[in-house]
Amino acid sequence: MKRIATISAIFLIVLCIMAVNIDGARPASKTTPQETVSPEALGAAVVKTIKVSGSGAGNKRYPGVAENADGDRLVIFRGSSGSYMYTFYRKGGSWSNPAVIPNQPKMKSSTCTDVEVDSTGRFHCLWEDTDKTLFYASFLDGKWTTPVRMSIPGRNDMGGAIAVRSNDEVIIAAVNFVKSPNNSKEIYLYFKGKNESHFTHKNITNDRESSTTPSVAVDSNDHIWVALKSDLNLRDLDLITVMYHFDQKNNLVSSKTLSVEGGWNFWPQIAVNSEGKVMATWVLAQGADYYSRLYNPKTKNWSSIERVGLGAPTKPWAAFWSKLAAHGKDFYLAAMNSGRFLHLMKYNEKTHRWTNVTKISDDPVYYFDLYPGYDQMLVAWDNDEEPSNIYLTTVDVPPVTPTTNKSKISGTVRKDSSGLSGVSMTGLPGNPATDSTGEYSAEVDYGWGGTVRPQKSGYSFSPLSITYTNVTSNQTDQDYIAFIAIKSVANLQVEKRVERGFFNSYTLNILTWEANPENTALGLVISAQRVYRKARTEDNSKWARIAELAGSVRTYEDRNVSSDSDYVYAVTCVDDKGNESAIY
Amino acid sequence: MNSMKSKILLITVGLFILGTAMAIPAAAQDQGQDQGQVESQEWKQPRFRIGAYFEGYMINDKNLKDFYHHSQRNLPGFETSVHTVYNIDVWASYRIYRDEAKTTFFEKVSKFRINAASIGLQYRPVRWKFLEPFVGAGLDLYSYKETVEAGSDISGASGNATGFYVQTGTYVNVFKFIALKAFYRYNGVKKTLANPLPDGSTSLDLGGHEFGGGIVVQF
Repeated sequence: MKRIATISAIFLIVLCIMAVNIDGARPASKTTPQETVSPEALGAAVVKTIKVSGSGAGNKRYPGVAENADGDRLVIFRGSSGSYMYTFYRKGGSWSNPAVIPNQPKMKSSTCTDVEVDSTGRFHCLWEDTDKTLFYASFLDGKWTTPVRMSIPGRNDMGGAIAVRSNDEVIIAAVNFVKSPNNSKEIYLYFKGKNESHFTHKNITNDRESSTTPSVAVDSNDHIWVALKSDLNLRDLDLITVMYHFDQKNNLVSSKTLSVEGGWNFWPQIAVNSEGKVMATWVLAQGADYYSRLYNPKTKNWSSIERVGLGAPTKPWAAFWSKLAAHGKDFYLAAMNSGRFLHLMKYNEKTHRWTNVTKISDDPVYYFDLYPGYDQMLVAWDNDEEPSNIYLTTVDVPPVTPTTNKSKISGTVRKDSSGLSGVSMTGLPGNPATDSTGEYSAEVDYGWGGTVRPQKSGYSFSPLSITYTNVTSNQTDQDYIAFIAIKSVANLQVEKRVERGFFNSYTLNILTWEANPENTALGLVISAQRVYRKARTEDNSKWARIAELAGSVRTYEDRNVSSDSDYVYAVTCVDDKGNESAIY
Repeated sequence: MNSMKSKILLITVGLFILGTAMAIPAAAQDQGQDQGQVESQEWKQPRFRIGAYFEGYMINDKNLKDFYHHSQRNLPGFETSVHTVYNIDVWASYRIYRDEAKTTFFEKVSKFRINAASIGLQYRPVRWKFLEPFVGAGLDLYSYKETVEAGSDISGASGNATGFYVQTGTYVNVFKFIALKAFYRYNGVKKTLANPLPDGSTSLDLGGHEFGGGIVVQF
């Protein structure tokens, strides 16, 4: 009996040990939608994934994501009905229920999403009606602009990327596919100024060959960098990756063939980091991997081709996607391995190697977008198997810190289309002056704020000044227009007198003045003088012009005024170009 | 203004017609007297007198004197008379009062003019050989006008005024057809203005004292 008890006890102990071992051997659960933390040992990164597409049935695809400076986030995606939807997260709050972007035209099947943010926190969104055209709309403070159909001459095909300059100009790279006569696909850049409602466009390839899948980025000098695939002058399936570089005026600075490889070559990506270094990546189906090259504009040196080492889906149609983003000095690449499992990779500039930061999902992924948040990389993705939903995975990264404590404010002061030299830019550190071409620049501390006012004797400027708050990036194209500061007359005197006959009389105010010596010194031709009047108690909006005189006149009689009136007067000067001096 | 002149002309002509009509029986009476008293009369009484004279007009209105800076203007005048009966004449006179000054600021010339017409009766109580003193009274019919030189925005003004006169004086017969004349006349011509003067006054006193002398043709 004692032996039976002993054997039973040993058996129970063994069972308990087995139970513990079984529990400990349980595989880590998949990163499922509502999981908040992936405890996997993916470096030190804290990874969180949430489902953002709501609970509706049907497939949701093609997500895009971005975060503005306030920490607000927007995810857009194609809903199960084909229309594009959005969900918005205000920092400190919760995600809104997904809703259809209003005023949206009916689309066949939308794809290829991209989202960017401007300095005001506005989200600029782009999506493609598959192989047809691109649509653009923006979102701010809960309101959408009406989606704009891009005026692509042919039709779009596999492409669409968006970037924003520091002056909030929106830049879109798109494909213009003209089937006849030779199936040419060319890359167009579209431009829309901050206050403009329509885009202008420019063909940047102009080669009548097959170019597609463009990516676009803007550096801190507002230069544009574009990567695209092309089969220029090559046989079919011999595809190359090409980079174009444009300056602030959209003039081509340089172009570079990044790789010439046989086989399918897709989705070149491009990004610029805070040091101005340019990273380009692409996927090569034949090599079943992603590749990259780094360019340093200061040394004008391109690195050799680096293999990412993640592997890639081998079927070309399954390897379309990868997304590259710069976060501070760092470059991150979101890409799928051969099993379509999405990973976040980081580039190590010292070793020229890509390292795996984290696996984003244990489910195969179909499409995804990558955006650099303040202290998190944001990855929006949809699962490959149907029914598909939209998930947002955040990966903690060190907050972006400025690589320099300085930002540059620069621009040009022009007069009659020519640069004006010697204009003192007061308010900027050191009060710099414009050079012989009218250009100026100054470095300000990170987060600097102040009002810059151009000054030069004899000139006025438009705008009169520009006020800055919290400057954290280079401010280019801070331009002013100068014009001669014509001055009003000098030493204006007013004398009230009465003109009387025997039976009738009237009161008149006699104005006398002198030519302004400043106008004389500038050699201005005063073609006219304008007399303004208002009651002394009226505000400045009440100035009324009562006479226009020749430029040589020095007196004016304001007749038939009431004897008890109390008027004040101003006499302005008008030069031969129609510029009028200020009243007061 | 024109209608006023017309009225004055009509009244004057009317009075002359009346005077002439009255003069016809007077002439007949004179003829009878001539026939019976020719020895006692040294000369025959004339029926018509036409004369010109030069006078001083001392206008009453203080404002006018202040603005135009003259208290007296010398001016010519014309008169005519028709003897009716009993040494009573229908008498009329016309003279033009002119003055001018400069406006206060632009110094444009402002001209003031009175067309003064008087009509009434004149009585010669005694007829001496050389002197025929007279007294008379009647109506003054005045029109006045101020014009200002171009360059000032002051508008001109004009109007009419009526009043009375009384006068006295004497004819001095130097020849049968020629006599001299001396007179004093006082005119009372006041008007209330619809638009006040610049100083606020609404009264206009165009009357005043006249004194002068002239030469008369009588027949």
